[in-house]
Amino acid sequence: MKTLTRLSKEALVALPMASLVSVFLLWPALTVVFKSFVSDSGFRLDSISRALSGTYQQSFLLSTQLSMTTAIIGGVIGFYLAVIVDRMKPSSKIRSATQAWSAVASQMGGVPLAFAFFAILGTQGIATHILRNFGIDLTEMGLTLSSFWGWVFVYLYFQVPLMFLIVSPALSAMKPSWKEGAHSLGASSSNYWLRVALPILFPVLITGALLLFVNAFSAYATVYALSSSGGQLVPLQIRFILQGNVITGEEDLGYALVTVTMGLLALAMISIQVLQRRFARWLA
Amino acid sequence: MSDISLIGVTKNFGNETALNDFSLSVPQGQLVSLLGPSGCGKTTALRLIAGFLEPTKGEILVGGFDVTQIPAAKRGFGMVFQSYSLFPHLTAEENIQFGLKLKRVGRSSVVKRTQELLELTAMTEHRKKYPHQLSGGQQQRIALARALATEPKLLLLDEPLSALDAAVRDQLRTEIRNLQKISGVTTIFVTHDQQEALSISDQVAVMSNGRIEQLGTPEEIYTKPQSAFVAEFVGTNNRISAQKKTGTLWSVLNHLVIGPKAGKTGTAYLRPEELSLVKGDTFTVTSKTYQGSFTRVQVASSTETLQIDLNSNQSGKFAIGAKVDVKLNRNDPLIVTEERNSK
Amino acid sequence: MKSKFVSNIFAIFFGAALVSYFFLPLLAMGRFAFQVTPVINLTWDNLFEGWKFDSITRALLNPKVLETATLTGGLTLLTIFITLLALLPIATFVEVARPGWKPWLTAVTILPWIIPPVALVVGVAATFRPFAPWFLSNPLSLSFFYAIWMLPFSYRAIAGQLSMIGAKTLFEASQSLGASTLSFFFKVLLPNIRNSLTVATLLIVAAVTGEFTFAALLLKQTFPVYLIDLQSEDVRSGYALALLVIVATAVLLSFVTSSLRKRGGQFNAIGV
Repeated sequence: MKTLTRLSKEALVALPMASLVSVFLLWPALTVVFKSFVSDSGFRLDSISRALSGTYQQSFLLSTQLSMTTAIIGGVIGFYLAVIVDRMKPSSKIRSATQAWSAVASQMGGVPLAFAFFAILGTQGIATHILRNFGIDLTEMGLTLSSFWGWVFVYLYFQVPLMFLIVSPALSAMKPSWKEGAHSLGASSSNYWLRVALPILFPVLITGALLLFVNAFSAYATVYALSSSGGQLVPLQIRFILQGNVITGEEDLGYALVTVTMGLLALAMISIQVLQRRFARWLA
Repeated sequence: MSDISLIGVTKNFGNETALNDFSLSVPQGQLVSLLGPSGCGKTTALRLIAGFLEPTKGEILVGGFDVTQIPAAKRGFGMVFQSYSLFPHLTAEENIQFGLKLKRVGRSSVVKRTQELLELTAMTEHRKKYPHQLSGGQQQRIALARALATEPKLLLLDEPLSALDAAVRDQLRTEIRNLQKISGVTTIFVTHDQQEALSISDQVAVMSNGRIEQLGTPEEIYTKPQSAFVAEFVGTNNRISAQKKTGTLWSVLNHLVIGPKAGKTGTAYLRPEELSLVKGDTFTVTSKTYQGSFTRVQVASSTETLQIDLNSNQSGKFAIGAKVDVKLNRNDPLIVTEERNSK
Repeated sequence: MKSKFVSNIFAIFFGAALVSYFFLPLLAMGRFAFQVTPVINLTWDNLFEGWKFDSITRALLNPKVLETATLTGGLTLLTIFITLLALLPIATFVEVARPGWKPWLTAVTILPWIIPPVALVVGVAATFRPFAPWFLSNPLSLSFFYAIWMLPFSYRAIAGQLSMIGAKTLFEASQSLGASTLSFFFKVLLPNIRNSLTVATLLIVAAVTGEFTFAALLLKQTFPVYLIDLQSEDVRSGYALALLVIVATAVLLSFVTSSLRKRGGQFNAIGV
């Protein structure tokens, strides 16, 4: 009897979370995956294969390229920023300002971000205008907000702060005694970084890059607001097909696209978990 | 204030047995230490008493009353933890008052009792400080005060000194003992430090592998260990080979001593202060370490090396390289035979 | 040392570049919102002409703005409530009594990063339409999606602080003093996780005030969604308002985090 009341208490504690997650996360995800393999005519794989070929294959490639590029560039810049800030005193105003701003900027996306970049680099943008006065035409150079590198430039706005926020705690957990120990053994600063710091930080860096990848891949609002040619990216493809939801009659394709996306992102997240375990050992 | 008994308590974690048929009776007002290496089950025993764990088998009685099924929050025991357990968001004073306020004790009584405890732990001037503003030793004093505030039936201490500096540790353990004597609360003290256990306990239960190896006063544990484990865990030892002569007579270093009836050969345990030196020829002095009031002299023969504690004045007689004989100061040391572990 | 000097100089340039990158676009937004002269006509001479701040007053007086802002405000509060209701019991329980469950709980809170918002909307719609069509037609239903979406961040912040304060020992200590679980929760636990609760709340505020995807997919007119419409009617108002929101969020966050720091707490927004 005692175990029964205890079990029901445990169930009560888990209930809110369990119901939230089941109804709004697990069930919808499973439904969509299920529907990508099963339709009225039974089990089929052709939706998935369609999702992986032709224009959709291009979409996945484009999305992956964009995500990887912003993950790597954003990762490097964010990491370097974290390194610089970590050197400052904890009470430094720059340090706290950077942390606060990163929290804001990492959540920024979509509409406000697009506006901001339109205002500066769009066709009516002030920087575009100024550069034109100096004879530099960005449109001619293909560096507009509708181009790949334009998107990369915009995505960095939230990718860099995100990387900063991920890496900073790890950097503060690095013991100064490691650095001092390395120096006392004759290591120069670059030696220290190459042989001691980077190997230790490696899991966190890869985790950060992977998270940036995941973050970029799923980004929808930003590109939606930025340009029409963004329609080639996977999230927008999915939206286009599943929009209205009945008329196109091609929902299975939409579901299949979602399933493939989930598979890709799941792979990334599993890699992160594996790395987390290694990381925890070193910095515990 | 109550006495406490554990009767046949066994605790299993999956396939592992942390406590095996553990029985202990602690009379009211006594301080009993559970002493042993990590993994011996002492903390498990304490947590069973506290109610954080449920026994797989057995009963726990407090004041004759079976508390085994009673949840921890209702057992009315005070507890001090190893890792600091003070509530960070409350001042020292507020921490102490926590239990009293839960019991809806009247305002003036709360103030009075808090003041009492602050004085007893000499922490009055720190009453308004937050835990992070206090040193480790100070935090543990407040933790102790907090535990005693509600006049619990039992005080449980889970290695409260292990995380502190040596100097603080020594002082604090005396304070704990004093407080315990003043309040008269039955106390169980878990530690792996034998010096701690010996210096403050009424009784010591030496534990190993989920069982009590020996229960006795500190003196009994030290001078009359009943097994090799207890002898080795507490204090320093010399292990000297022993040969049976006849009946219960054994020979250790050419001395006749009383030993177990069974067995033919064994190991005798003698402490450094239970041996002394005279001029002779069986051993050579190899080193002398000055320890203040006594000097530890190491002597070696072709077969054994022994540590002997001598009064520093006397030790002057024996220089390094001197030839000596070793004499026993007692005739009933612990002898452990090859087959069994008892005397 | 020369190399230290070089790396310091580099760091300064790097910092300057980053500051420009992050703030020039915002300045451009301001210029666009508050300077009437169209970009094409701008020359170095008329740079300081045509500055009017009516765009922001127009925006703030726009009834639709108030309406959608109220909705977004309500969504924020509801999201915070749902998040805390779902997370606090289980996170505390796992930290105090079932540490073995932690990896599983962490894994669950990571799922929102794997599952695209589109999938969630479509899946939920398919489920609710036959049973309770009114649910999704109420704009407040967005808060459930938001709670899920912010789960990785909220969970990490809260779980991080729970483990930092040694919640398990605190629980046992409070039990030894006679506290019930509820007493412990309200008298000991909550006061000591104030920092992470604040961080989680702030992140939710920042996120919800900019969230577009879920709202657009479910055809709800939240504040960010309306911003796009406003921009097509009255460009400068739209920009002015967007800028205001960004600045307000940044100010709020930095104010709160600096007062958290003063109280001696640690600030860790992600702690992945």
